[in-house]
Amino acid sequence: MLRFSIQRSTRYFSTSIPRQQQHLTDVAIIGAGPAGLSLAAALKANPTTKSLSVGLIEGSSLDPVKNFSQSPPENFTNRVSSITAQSVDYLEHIGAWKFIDQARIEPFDNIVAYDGLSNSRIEFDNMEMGTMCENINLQSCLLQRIEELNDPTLKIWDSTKVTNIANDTDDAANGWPVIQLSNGDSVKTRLLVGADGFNSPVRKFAAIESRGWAYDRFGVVASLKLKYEDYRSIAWQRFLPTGPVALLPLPEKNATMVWSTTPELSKLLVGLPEDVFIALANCAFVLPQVDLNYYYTLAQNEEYDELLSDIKWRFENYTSKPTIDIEDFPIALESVIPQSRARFPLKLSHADSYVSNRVALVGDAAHTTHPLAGQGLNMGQGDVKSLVESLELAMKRGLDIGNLLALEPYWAQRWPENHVLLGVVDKLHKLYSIDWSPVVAVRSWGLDVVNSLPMLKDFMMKQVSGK
Amino acid sequence: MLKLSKSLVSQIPKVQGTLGKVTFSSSYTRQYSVSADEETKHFNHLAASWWDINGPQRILHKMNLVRMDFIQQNITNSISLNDKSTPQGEEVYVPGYNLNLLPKEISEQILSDQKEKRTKEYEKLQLRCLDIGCGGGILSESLARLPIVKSVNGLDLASEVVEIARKHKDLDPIIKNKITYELKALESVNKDEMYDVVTMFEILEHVDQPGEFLKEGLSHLKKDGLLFLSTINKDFVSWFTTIFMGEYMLGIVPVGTHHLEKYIDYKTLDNLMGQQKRFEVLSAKGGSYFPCYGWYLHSHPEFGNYFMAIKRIE
Amino acid sequence: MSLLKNYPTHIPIKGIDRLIMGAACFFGATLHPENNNYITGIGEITAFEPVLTRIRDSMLSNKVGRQILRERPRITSKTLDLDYLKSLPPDTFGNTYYKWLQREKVSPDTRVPVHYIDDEELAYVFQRYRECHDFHHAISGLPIVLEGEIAVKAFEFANFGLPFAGAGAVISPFKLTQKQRTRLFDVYYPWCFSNGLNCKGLINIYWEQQMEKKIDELRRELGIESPPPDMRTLRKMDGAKKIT
Repeated sequence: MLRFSIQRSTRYFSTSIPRQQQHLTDVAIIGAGPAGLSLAAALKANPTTKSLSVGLIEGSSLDPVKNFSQSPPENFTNRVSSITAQSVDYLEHIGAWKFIDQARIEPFDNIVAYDGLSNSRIEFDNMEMGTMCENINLQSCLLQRIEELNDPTLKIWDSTKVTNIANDTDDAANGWPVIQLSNGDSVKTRLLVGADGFNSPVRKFAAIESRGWAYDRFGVVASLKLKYEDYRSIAWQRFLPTGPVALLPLPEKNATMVWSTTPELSKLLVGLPEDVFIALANCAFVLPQVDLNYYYTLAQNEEYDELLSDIKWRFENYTSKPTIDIEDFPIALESVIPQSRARFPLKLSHADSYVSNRVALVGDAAHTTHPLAGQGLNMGQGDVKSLVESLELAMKRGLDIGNLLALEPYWAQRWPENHVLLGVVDKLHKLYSIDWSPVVAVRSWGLDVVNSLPMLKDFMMKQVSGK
Repeated sequence: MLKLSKSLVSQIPKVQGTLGKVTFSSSYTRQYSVSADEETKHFNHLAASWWDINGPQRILHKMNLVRMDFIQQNITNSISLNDKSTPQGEEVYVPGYNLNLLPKEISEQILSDQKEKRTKEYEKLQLRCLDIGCGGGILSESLARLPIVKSVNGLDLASEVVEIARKHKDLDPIIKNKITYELKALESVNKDEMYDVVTMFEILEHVDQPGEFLKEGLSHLKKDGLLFLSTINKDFVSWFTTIFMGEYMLGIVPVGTHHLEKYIDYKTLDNLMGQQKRFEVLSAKGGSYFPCYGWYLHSHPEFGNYFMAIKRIE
Repeated sequence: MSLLKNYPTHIPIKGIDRLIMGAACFFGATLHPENNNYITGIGEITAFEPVLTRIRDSMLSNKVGRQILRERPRITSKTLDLDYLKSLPPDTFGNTYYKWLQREKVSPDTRVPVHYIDDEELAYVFQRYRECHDFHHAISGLPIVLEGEIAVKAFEFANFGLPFAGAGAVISPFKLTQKQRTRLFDVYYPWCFSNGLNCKGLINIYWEQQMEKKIDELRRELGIESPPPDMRTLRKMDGAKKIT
């Protein structure tokens, strides 16, 4: 009796729920950030690799990205990155850059980096060293390129989380990864690419160790409006002992800021009333450290009126000194876009390997860095370029693209390059975190010397812009 | 240790004295200390670890990468840009003189036209391939994955190795149905089975009669078909790299894989081919292996390992 | 190297001229100590920029110090209402100060303006220091005889760290008699150094607003112990000649 009713109910069950699909792809990319989307577009744009079937899986919805091209938001979003000339070249090469919303990007020709303790400075100028671009603008142009390519073998699953990744057999050397999706489907793939950020589940699946350290610092981002448009096209960065504060230009009167500072201060900055935040941010670019420290205390005690009036006096008083030229500083900030302030923890990390049997990592899944040099996103783009080239070569050689022999050239090319860059950025951060005067004196002298050597500056500019 | 040095000493090549001329008409027999059966047994032992890319066959896996580069390059180069079937007006211009004599824009335009035509013709190819001495199928699988390859027939005499090859190809859906492995000698292949591509990589130094063997392989080429081979020169460099360093010192290749007495000089084969009117040597390259890096092809096939590409022109 | 005036009384001198000036003032001070200009000259030239910057930064870090820098109060007989101070109760700071002024027969106007410090804000800091000197006398009760001046200089050096003050405390005792010197080292120096080092930064005190406060309360707030034995009384007991 019991048996009969169970049979009955399972038959009823199976006809009312659609069968779960198993998909088979050559390349499955997890994560549709700039790195993941770039990889998908690049694979389909390359004449050799376009025959690979690609699946792109993203946990959150891509609707904001799709809507961006139709009706972009009035104000600038707060996740903005500096795109090097080399990255722009590659985006042009894969046919995506033509879709970028030109009205929302700002190329800059100059970089001014100055010491918050000694005011020694270094200035670089070169045509279009970098372009400030909102991350969502970049994602949108890549998505439009993918739509233009209109390849039926590229499938995107958005608003779909990955619930599990496992090999389909116990034989690890021969197994293919199978990804379980939150909609019940599964994807079996020849090559699994993790473009899924710092906490990459793909990296964990491949049991690849990632080494590094947290900086005990947070980056505070904000979208700002300047008092008036700065025609000088400069990316500013001031090195305070707590961390650098950078002001990066956007079209017209807009700008974006990244302020790397201690966890307590970052919390304070994000929570301040808007006018107080703006006043303090203005000071951060101009006033000496002793004033800033005093203001932090006032802000912590919520003595806002006192703070604002003191800032007004001190700014006037300080900038009217004969040794101070207001042209050496950024244009004053006027306002911050509401709800645009956010903070995120800063850390350095580098995966031991970017590849494993049938697994590859790109972007933040492989490495994270301090934002002070504007290299994080660009390193990811470099990864994509190298991986596509390695896969193209592997296909010409008839290799299974998930095989380590196909993937190792990618790792061999990118790991040393990235390692050096990560190391340099880390040392810069450490150097400028010290406020012990002999070190400050030496680094300031060093900076002034470098500033006066054009050949060395040219070399550094090439490195920064990636050309 | 003593035993080791004795066998090493016996293998140091005597520079003077050759193997004697090899011609197509005479089939000569060499007396070897190693028989065909022993060779087969040796490879059967390696069957289980054949596909471990970090195992004893790693050097073979790395060599496969340059083999495929060599094959692709020669296939592309041997594509004729204009033939009788090309309609008038669509011919690609191939000047009979150095392109550098023309202005830059024109020469670049000509080159890009040629490249475009070549790519178009390349994509039309559907090659039937014969892989002699396929082993575990490293080359066969790589060939099968190319979109220009229609089918691959792999032959080998070591039964366990062929079994491994069959099992391995079934793991990849793309190539499963494109490859057929047979436990068969080349001589047993049907006389009128003709192929676009015949490959004999690392096999000539394991057979008793290399001249006959090569002739047999060439007889299965269609017109305009290509035969690819790689083998090892019989000289000090080869002994040093492949046997002394490779087998005994660094253990990159299992001991007993190679036997110096069976090596063949590039010059010998080149002379052979020079006497053949129906075939033309398209390319000959030397190959060197650098541990931790891989194989590198260079333009000195006279010592060490070498690769050859031969085209049937009539 | 700009030779423009940064403030009205500014006399810009640079480099080697500064050194020569310093040497001249030094000799002038040793030979003619009664001429105030030499001593003030040395004081300004030895007030090196890092030292003044440190003092100014300590003002910027302090709420009252910042207020002083903002409002830039000056101490003259016009800004201080002496009649009002006279009317205050005897145990207030204001009244004590007034009484001290009378006893020593000095007035707040005797301070020489700053000439040789280039940065305008630092010049004000030094000016303020100079003008507050009398308050330091009043709070510690030390007279303006040489012995008293040395003691106040020591007190100021311990608190401010100005090299001139320190130099004064070290070099000048040679002019005293043996008895005075012993008294200085045994009685007054310990008081000066321990209080100077431990009490609050005197530059950050808005003296003008402390006039109504009881002097003991003020001393307690500042962290100054009760003043040392009255120097003039002790000197009278010695029968020593007055040295001014």
